[in-house]
Amino acid sequence: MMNSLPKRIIKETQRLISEPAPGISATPATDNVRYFNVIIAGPVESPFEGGIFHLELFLTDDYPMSAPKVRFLTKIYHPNIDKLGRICLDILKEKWSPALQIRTVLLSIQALLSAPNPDDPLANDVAEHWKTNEKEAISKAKEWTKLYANKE
Amino acid sequence: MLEKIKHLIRKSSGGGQSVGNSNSSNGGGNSKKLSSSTSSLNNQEKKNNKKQNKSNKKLSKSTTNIIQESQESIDSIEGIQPFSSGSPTHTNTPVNQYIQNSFNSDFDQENIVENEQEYSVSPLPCNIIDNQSDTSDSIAIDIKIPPPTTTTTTKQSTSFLRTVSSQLLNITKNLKHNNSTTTTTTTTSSANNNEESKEDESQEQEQQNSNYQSEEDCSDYEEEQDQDDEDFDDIYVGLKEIDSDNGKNFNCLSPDQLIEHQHKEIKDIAELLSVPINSAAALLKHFNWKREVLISKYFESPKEISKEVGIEYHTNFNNNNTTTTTTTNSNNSGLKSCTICGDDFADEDVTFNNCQHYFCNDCWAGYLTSKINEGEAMLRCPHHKCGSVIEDLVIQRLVAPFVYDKYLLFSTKKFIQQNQQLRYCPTPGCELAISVRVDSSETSSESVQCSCGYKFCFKCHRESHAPATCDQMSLWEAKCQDESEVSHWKIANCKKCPKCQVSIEKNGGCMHITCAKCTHEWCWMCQRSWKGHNDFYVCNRFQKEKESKRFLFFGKLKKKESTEEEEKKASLQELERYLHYYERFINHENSRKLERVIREEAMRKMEELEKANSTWAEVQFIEKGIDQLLDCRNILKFTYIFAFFSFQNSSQVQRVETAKELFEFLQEDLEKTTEKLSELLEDIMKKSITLEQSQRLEIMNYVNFAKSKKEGLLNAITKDSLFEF
Repeated sequence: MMNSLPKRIIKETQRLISEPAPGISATPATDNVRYFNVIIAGPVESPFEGGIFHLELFLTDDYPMSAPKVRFLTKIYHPNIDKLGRICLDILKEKWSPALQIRTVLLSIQALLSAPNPDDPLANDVAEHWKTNEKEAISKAKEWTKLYANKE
Repeated sequence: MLEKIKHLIRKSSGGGQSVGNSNSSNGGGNSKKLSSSTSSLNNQEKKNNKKQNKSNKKLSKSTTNIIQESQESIDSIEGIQPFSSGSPTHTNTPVNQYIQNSFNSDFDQENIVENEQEYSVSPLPCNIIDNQSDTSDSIAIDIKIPPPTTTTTTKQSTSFLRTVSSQLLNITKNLKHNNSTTTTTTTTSSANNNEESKEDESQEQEQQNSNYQSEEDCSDYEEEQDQDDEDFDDIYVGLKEIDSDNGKNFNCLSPDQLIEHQHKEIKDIAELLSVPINSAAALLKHFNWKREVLISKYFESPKEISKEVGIEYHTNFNNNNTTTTTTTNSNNSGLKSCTICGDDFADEDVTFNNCQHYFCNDCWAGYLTSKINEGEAMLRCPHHKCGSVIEDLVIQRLVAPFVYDKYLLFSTKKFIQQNQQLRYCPTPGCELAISVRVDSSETSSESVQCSCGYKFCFKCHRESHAPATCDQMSLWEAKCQDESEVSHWKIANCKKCPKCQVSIEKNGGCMHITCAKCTHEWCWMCQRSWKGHNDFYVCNRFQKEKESKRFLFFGKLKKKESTEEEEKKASLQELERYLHYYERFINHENSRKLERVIREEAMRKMEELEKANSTWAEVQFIEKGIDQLLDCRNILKFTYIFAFFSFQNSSQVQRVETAKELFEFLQEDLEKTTEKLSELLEDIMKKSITLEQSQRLEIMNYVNFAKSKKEGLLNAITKDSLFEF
């Protein structure tokens, strides 16, 4: 099924490498061009600042008709990301549009790190923590960032 | 020729109260023979009429034997009638009162019989043209049956039509063999009830059959007859429908008709709101085909609604220029880059949507196909955050035909789901839908029959379940399923959408649930609308409140510990009661399954018998019997559910007890008749090729018994006369 790679994927990959978005890097795996190793730097002025977050991104055969599958590999304390790294983001689900790209998806994830949304939570306990004691939750997020997102 | 007769019979469906004019001329060139035969018929009929007016029991010797016979058989029917033999001692028990009541209805039936007699005695409403100039056997019969005048006579007229059709068969036979027509036409009077005359008729037919066999051209004729029989089958199906759908208020719609139905509504809205057809379609789909909601909202704020739905807002739109703005916006820039696949395309390979977003045709097709396969009925522009609706014409142009068909199917499904007056027939593979005239919410339960033959309740989509109501059915099902695995699983894993009650399984993701069926957004935690749900805490507190309430409830229960013993006893009794009804219900269900097999057997048997010197009309009673049997079983099955729920109210013990007594009397009566009928039919199946007249008569009798008893029971239930005593 993978005999010919759609032109779109080739173009997107080229652009991701040649002009990467600030704070984001995405490189295709050597054995599978549909699998990307993604690194997102924690946005400034967020509890994740200074952290290096690894993600995986996979383009299904339906891409771009269906959304890419994205997951955090690095542990992160965030109300919209659960302990398995799954992300609650509308454009990865029902709001996906084939006009969106890998770049836009990754930028959205970056934005999610800057602005956690505990009203639409995936990890209930984290969201609750965020609601009851935001200060404490943020400090815990910082702690986790130091603990897990610091290694290269 | 016979085709024509059938056609006419079909046309006259449900009608034919008065049948007088035999003299209505039919084309020129009728031969002398015809007029003589019809006039002799007339004379005969006049005589009969006179005789009937004179007396009921004794006939003068001058009348023909045939009339005497038919009259006798009418008398014998009076003797056969189930209740009329009635017990001489009329005490005041409800049962006897009921019998008295049914006495009256017997008189009515007598009247019907007499009416039928009049029908059959009055001149046949047909002209028979025997083209003697033509050497072939072609005979043209034209029946003139006036259109229905009243609906109350349908039952009579149906049986009358049956009589006519069998008479016609005989007439054609007779004409062919130049027999005198008078004998057959008079003997077939009131074929439904008049068993003896039927016997005569069949004997005659047998004679005729043997005559045919002696003739050389009989093989030709029989072939024709076989074909005709098949066609007649259709008539009978038609008649059956008339019979059961007496004053029916529903009809069957094919997929094409459904699409037409949608187009009509869309057109109405387009005209009313003066918007393009496409916009009207989008608006209707957006508002789930709720016209009133759409109209009121649209008039309130047309601009906002247009934006919300994703259509262009026109002021003073003129319906005439419904041009689609596709592929017309060219910037003369040569190549265009598709934002989905990233390739460059010439102008003719890209398609613009109304929102001016464009994509290459391949990407469009891919996008639309995937959305259609997801079951989406409303397709929107693929551009991020653009909700503009894509027109049907564009979709049709861009996707493969079978995908477009799927799209239409899904939209139709949605249309039916939202429409209170439409339902799909639940039979697997049946694509028809039933449309009722009355809103289904107004009636308690309504049995409808699809053209495919399946009878179901319009309201709850179950198999037709008279006399039990829909509520009783769901209570019953819940009761039966209490122990089932599925319900356990459902309780453990599913929650019901608070709006449409569909069961939803949460397979991941957040608490924000969007129902796939009704698009209601709600919170998994508190099961309330997601609107105004920004505070996560509300849910939590709600849960706690519930728990504390439950705790209080348990506390109360503990106080009542002393009465626990009594409760145990009561629940044991209740269980026994339930098992009593369940057992009987299941028994009928099982025997009904077996009888379905018997039905197939019966069809084979009928063919077999037909081949072995019987006519189609003669073996028809087997099918009738089986149908009646299945019907009775079904009714009986559901009477147990009805009884289980109807006679448990103990506030008026005395009243309920009498009602129950009466009900059980009627139920038992029907049960006995049904069992007897079942037995008789099974005998026929097992026995060899020959068909004995006595058997046939007995079955015919029991079919009629069962019918009247069934109706009696149903009437008693529906009219609530059970509780009158």
